Amino acid sequence: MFEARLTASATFKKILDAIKDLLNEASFDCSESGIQLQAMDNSHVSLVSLMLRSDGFDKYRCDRNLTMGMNLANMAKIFKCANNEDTVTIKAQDDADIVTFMFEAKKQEKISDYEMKLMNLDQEHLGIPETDFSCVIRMPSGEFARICKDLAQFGESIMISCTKEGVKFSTGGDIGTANVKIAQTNNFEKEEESVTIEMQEPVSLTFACQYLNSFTKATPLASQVQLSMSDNVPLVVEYQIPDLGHLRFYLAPKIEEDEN
Amino acid sequence: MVRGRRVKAVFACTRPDDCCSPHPKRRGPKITLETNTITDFFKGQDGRDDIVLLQVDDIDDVPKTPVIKNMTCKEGPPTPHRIELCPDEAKIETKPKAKKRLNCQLSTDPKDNNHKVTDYFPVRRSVRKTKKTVMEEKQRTLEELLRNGVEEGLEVRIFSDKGRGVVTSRPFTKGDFVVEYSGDLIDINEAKRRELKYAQDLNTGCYMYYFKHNNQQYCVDATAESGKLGRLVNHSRNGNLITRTVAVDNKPRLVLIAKDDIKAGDEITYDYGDRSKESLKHHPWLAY
Repeated sequence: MFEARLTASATFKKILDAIKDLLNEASFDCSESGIQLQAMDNSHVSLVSLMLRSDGFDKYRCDRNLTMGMNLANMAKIFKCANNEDTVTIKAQDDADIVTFMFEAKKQEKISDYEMKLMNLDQEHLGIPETDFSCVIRMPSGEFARICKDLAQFGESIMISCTKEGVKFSTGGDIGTANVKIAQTNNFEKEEESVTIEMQEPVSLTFACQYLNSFTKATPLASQVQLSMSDNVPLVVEYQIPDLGHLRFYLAPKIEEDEN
Repeated sequence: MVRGRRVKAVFACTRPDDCCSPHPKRRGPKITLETNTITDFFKGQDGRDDIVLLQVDDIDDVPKTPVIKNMTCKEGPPTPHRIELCPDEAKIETKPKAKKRLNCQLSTDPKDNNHKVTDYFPVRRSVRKTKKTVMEEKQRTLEELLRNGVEEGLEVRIFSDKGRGVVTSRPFTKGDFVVEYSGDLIDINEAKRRELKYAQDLNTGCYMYYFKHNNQQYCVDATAESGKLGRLVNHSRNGNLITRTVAVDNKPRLVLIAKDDIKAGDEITYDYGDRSKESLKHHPWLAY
């Protein structure tokens, strides 16, 4: 028996909105420690890794480890039926082929049940090693989304260069070039607006705009985003979900021209 | 028919010469119309600036300003010309759907020059096997051992009280194949015949192993001195081996499997299973 209850169904909505563009379907691995999801997009360029800790739920019970393959578009449809203030309960029997989503309105005068068929997904699971990144950038998530959106107009890829002075996002295309520089700011009063850079050595990597823009769909989840970079390692874009877990995106860098 | 679309372009030309010929020479005065269109002011590149779209009926969700591609001039009096869109030929340039699924778009992109995540992170392959696979593998290795007649980790020792016996020279773990009780596989009638023959000679020991496999009675006769070790394993009611039948190439064979973990240097024994009065009279050691 699996049961997870979360007061804020809006969080689930935001998570689904963030990943449903990248993934058509995904397996939710439920264990005693929480709900985990790891899946690559079809082109195997990016990877989504979601962790929702069991202690972040209002009620969590998982008797046996359970893998629930779900179609994310259908799941998003179901969550569209819920109000943001509703409490959501996800239920599944052991070895069941359906999952139940129950939405309770705040005053409990309305309870809606949605059952969805589960899928058997044969997905590859990647082993992600612990990495000490050369650069870790924390910045307002809205700012990052804005930069990605703006630069996407000029080129297909964005180069992120991190030096001790700051971070530079640059791109170039047919119409010209675009550069956005962000310096480190320590805004102690408004921590969510500050930009912090932890740097071991300067890094400069190029990534596909399209994916970065998909990642920024997760912006409503967190006020800050963390970008971790190292040479020859995928970029990690991490959004902390307050009191619940995190949503991480891994993005493989573009192949440099001289590599061929 | 293109679904639900009716487009009529009525063309009014005041010029006497045929301006709709493929090479119009017209550079004359403007046509006067009720409403001016942009083409009145800017000459189209093909020189057909006098074509005016008068009426467009959009029923469906086709773009509001259709691109007129296939204009045909109807044969008829020079003026006024009537130009109609041939709906069947007209190809409406619909914009590609603005929002394609990202992954579809990329996977079909031929100049996809991105690294893959799998280049950096290894795919985790589970090394866990199902119980069935494990059993099958075990069976296969056992058959292999039997076919090759493997007898490893064993040696013959002569005991003062009971003669020859077999001891281990390496440890065996519970469930390991130890040795085969090899001999002639015979049926029950042949076994009875041989028993009679052996009974005449008191020096022959008892090496007949009767067993059932798939509800059929068989016997392995190991009376002949073959050099195989299986026939020399002694009896004990609390032995450290058990006998199993295994079908190899559709022939049942007897294997001795370690019942417990066996240390190196221990004598291996198994229960002969014969408790009949007759046998006990001749071989009193069967009781122990």
